[in-house]
Amino acid sequence: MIQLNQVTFSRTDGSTQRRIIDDLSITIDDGQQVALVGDSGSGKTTLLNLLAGLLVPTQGEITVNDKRISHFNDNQLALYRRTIGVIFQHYQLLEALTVADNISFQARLNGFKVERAQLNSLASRLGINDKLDVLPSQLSGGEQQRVGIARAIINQPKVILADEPTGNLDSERSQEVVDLLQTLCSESNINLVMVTHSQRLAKQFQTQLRLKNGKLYD
Amino acid sequence: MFRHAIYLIMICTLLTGCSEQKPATASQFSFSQHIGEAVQPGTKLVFPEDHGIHPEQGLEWWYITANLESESKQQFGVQWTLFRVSTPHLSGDNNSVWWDGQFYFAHFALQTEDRHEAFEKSGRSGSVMVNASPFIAQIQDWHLSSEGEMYLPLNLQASASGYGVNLTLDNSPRVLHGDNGYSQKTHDGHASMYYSYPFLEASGRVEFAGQNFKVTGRAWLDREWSSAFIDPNQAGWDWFSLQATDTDEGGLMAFCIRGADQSYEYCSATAINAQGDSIAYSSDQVSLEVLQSHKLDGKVYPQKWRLQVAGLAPIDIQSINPDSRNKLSIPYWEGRVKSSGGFNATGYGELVGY
Amino acid sequence: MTELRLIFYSYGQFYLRHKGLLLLFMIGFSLGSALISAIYGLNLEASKRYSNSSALLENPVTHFIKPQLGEERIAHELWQLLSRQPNLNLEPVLEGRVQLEDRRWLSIRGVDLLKWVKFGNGRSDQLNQSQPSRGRLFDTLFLDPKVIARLGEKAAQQVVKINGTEYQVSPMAGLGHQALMDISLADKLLRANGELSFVEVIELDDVNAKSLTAMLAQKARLESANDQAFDTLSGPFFFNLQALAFLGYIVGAFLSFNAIKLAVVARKKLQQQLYVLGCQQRRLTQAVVIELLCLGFISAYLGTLLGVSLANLLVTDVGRVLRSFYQLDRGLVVGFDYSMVLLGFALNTLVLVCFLVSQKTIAPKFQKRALGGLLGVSIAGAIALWLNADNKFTALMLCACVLVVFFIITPSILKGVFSYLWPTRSPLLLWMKEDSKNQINELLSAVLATLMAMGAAIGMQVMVNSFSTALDSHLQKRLSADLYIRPSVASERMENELTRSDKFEKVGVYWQAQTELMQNAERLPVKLVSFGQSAKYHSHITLLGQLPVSAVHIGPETSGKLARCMVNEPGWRIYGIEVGDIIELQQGAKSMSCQVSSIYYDYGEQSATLLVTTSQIENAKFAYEAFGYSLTLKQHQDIDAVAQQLKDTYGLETSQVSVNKTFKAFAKQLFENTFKVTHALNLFIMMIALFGIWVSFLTLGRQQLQPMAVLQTLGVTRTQLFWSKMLQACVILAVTTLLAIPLGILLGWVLLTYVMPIAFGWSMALVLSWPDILGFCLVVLFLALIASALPLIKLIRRNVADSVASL
Repeated sequence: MIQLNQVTFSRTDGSTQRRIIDDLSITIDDGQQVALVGDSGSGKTTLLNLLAGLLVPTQGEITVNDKRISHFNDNQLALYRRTIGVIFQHYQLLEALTVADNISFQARLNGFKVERAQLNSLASRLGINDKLDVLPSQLSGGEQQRVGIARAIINQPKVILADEPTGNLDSERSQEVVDLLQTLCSESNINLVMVTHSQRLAKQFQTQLRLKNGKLYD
Repeated sequence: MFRHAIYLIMICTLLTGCSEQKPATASQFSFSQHIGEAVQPGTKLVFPEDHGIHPEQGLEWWYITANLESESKQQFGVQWTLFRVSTPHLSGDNNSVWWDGQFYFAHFALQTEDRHEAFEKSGRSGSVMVNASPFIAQIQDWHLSSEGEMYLPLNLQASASGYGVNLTLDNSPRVLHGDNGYSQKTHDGHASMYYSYPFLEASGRVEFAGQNFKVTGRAWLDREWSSAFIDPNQAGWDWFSLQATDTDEGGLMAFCIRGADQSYEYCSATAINAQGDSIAYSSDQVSLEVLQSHKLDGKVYPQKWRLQVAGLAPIDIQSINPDSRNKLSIPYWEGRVKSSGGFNATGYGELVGY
Repeated sequence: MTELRLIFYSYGQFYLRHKGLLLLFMIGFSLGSALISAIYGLNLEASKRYSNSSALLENPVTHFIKPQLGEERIAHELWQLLSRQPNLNLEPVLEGRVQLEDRRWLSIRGVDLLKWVKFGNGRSDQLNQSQPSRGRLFDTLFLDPKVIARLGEKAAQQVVKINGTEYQVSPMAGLGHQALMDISLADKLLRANGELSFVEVIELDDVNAKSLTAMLAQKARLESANDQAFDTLSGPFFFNLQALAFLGYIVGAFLSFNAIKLAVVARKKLQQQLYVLGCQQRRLTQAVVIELLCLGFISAYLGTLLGVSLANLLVTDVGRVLRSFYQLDRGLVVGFDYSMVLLGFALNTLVLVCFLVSQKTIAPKFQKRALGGLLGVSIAGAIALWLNADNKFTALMLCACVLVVFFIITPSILKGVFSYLWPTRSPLLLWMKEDSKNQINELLSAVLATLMAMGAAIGMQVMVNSFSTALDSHLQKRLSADLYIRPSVASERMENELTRSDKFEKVGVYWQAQTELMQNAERLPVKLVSFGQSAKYHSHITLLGQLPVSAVHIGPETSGKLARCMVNEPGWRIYGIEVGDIIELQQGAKSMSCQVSSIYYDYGEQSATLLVTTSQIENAKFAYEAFGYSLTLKQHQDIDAVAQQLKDTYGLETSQVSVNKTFKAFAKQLFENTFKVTHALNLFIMMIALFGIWVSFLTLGRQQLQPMAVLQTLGVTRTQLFWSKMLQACVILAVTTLLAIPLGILLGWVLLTYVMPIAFGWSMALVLSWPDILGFCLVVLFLALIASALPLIKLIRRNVADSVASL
């Protein structure tokens, strides 16, 4: 379960203080899949960063699976991040590592042993099993994003945060990726919070949270 | 080393390096110097001793001017002078083999119709030798010296960069100017001891611009020493030595001292017959007038004069090479002149202080 | 034009907003020139020193007229004769030492100061005006302010007392250790009676030189200024500096390369944007080239200023060494010279060209082949030179080959280290391992610069250490007497008294005579030295082959046997005087023959020297100088008591009686001073290399942003990230350091085996001081790690979210 309680995040721009997230309170149940929508500058990415422990709220509390991450220090946040999955718009794979190493990296960081069979199975599922020994620079955008998804999933997280995972893909690939993501999350009862610009994709989600000027907008 | 490193980092220097500095001394020579004891009237000149130096007086020279002609009728003018200046203030000890309190410098100039080249040297004890008998006045490789035991004949040798002379000078009587050699220069009594050998027969070689010529002609030797030639507020002088075209007519020496306004203040002349007997003319008997001038690099130099000597018709003197400036450390004008009217002659003129 | 102007404007704005980058770039670009200027300046100054005559007039001295061998001075009559020769421009010089009131000695030099007196068309100043405040010119001593300071209070008050008379002192910079004065005063103080030490000849051409030589005949010698002792003796010293200069520039070139890379890489995005907006590619390239050329010139200028400052800081040490070791006649000051700026600019431009060439993508296959070929050529060259090197140039080429080999193999070795299987499963370490292969390419220039600087420093250390060890044991044996005394006059009476004294086991002398050897129609100056009448007095000499010195090696002529003499190692190696040669030594009209029997070690000495017995010198009636005595005490004698007794008996000063230890310490000190400058420069080069490391890691930092942000997002803590990056840097730098050790040892070996014997005539064993080498490596590694850590810390401290957002 993900809970936000009166969370505010402010940033100082020169001499003015801007509230990017303004007194937000949300509850996301276990296994729930949420689409986060809103215009540019509404605070979607900031909210995701707060959930990922990349930012600390100015006020309020964030609890993820009974961990009050808003009170964690730097180290604790890093350890927390190992237990969640993050998928980026621009894939953000480690260029130096092969696809297989990229996929297993976070899991191994977390202390899990990733068997080759497990890797192969997931890769097949995602249609990239023939690319396991190549470098990310040799993959297409869609393939790279699927590697990102595999990396997030193989970690067996309770939460996956995806920031515009289809932002760099065409509509066909976008649909594929989102369908895959939702299926995998459903199968393992993983909370999925996905930021998207696309109304069409957002409608696929059972819950849609709309942000405007840092506040929830109905 | 680390300290150095810190200095390096802290200090951004624009060190262009010190160049070795010579100290500039303030000493400067001028023709209106006052050095040493004044010469006394009634001084008797004794030879050969007086051919040598007179250290009591601060200024002295051995002066040769000559009008020469080559076999191909090319005309040359030669001037060679060794100057001595007492500089007692440079050292407290004037008895060193390197220093006798005297500073020497020499000028050597050669001219043709339209060219005038001048050179100089300076020296001190060790590279300069002046001896009365046998006579030698030598500064490094330039010298005027007796060829034998007797004073005459003399040999003059000087050379520099493609210009040179090697002359034998002989057969001239000795003439004492003024009152037995005591030659007054100014109204207030500045005077020098002055004698000449005015009718020297010159023969030898001249090298001009690398070319050698066999020459003959006439030369005039002046010997003069004093503690001061002119007053400090006087500008300089015009001096002429004239050798009559007809050798039986002898020669004439005349000079006029110029005041601060460049006007002639005090003149004097000596008429010399062929045997060397002389008649001295005092200031009220001699006058000089500039007839024509010209400008050289912004300075006005006379080029034609009228000399009036009591008892003689006016003498017109004209410079042969109008630009006879010696562009040396001490600049002055020294060149050939010719005269007509009351005295037909050739000779040399010296214009100092322009 | 508008296009170029706009591009330049954009660049200008870029630099305005990235002042730190501009500063880094300029510093990096300037340091190379700074180093080359520093050394070049030192070399230039020393070679220019004879362009001014002793009287400090701007007259280039081309020749010297010196007294005949064995004589101290030139007669005044000769000077008078010379001064009367046409076409000769001469300056007389008289040198010597005078004792001051406080019994200290002052070196003096007398020249014709009359040349300083200006005679012109004067107005107010009269010649006979005295200047009481300045004193009389010819009675004044001109002293360097440093010498005045050394002489103490009275000198500072502008007066110095010599022989009971006070003389004015006038400060004048750049005079070195001698007091300059008019020659008449020097003549009086030295009671020289018109004699001269030597005559400087200005601008003498070859034709006149020949006739002058003929005129001088047996009365004096004419020597060319180029052949002066200073040039030959300072050879090793300046050779050191030249080699360092070359090295320093290469290190600096790497830095310049890095600096250019930094400037270009930081603007890649800007360049791309300009291109997208419509600027032509060739204009963009043109703009970069023009900018870098201009900045290259400015950096060369700034670098030269910096270099000149550095040189002037070092020159006090240099000057001290040269003065004490080689009796250099005047102080050195390094001046700013535009030739240095041009040199710096030319080299910066060369680096720029190399950079542009490196930007061209060369097919990896071709690259591999080219490198392989170069490696092969270098190895072959090294082997060929190892077998055949016989002059300074080929020896240095051997060093260059060794360097090139290491340059080529280092990147491969580094990559190899990261390619091997590592005994770890940690994903972070495995990422770091893979990532390093890319990093190495980026860090290559800094790594190679460090390798080179370290290799050179270790090589120098090896050479200096070996030399120091050889010198130590050499001095140990050579200075084996207990006491050394140097009286003002070493008379025969004193020698007899000392010999008859019951305190001394052995009384040796030190005699020196200047002679000449005709070799291949050239005159070779040879020093003749003797320590006593027989081989017994030469037992402290070490022969090549370690045989003890006996009568076989040294002795006068006997019936049936030629006189025997020993030649020093430089005499053999450099001047070709071989064992078995029968040579004839000349001093003026006198001569002496001997057969060379053996070769002895003579570290520190570069000229050809022969050891003979004192009787051989006496028999030949050579003029010689007796410097003093070496005394070996009998058992149970108290060295201090004996020393005191000698001082009392012979009226010797403390400085004239030296105990073995102090003498050795003094000799070692001189040696250390010689290499102080080299050490200083080495250190400077090392610092430049470390600076290069810092800049490289700084450049790298920006490129590391992406993976670091990803890793942090994936849960790697800041501490883990920091230490894994540090480990990466540590492995790269440690491998470089480890490679620098064999490189340094090889360079040291080349220096000792080839350069030392060829250039200076000294051979010695290679001695490695592992504690020193390893200690140095650890310090450099530590400093390099700090240099690499600084940019890293800054990056890691960044807010992760910001890093992610900027991706």
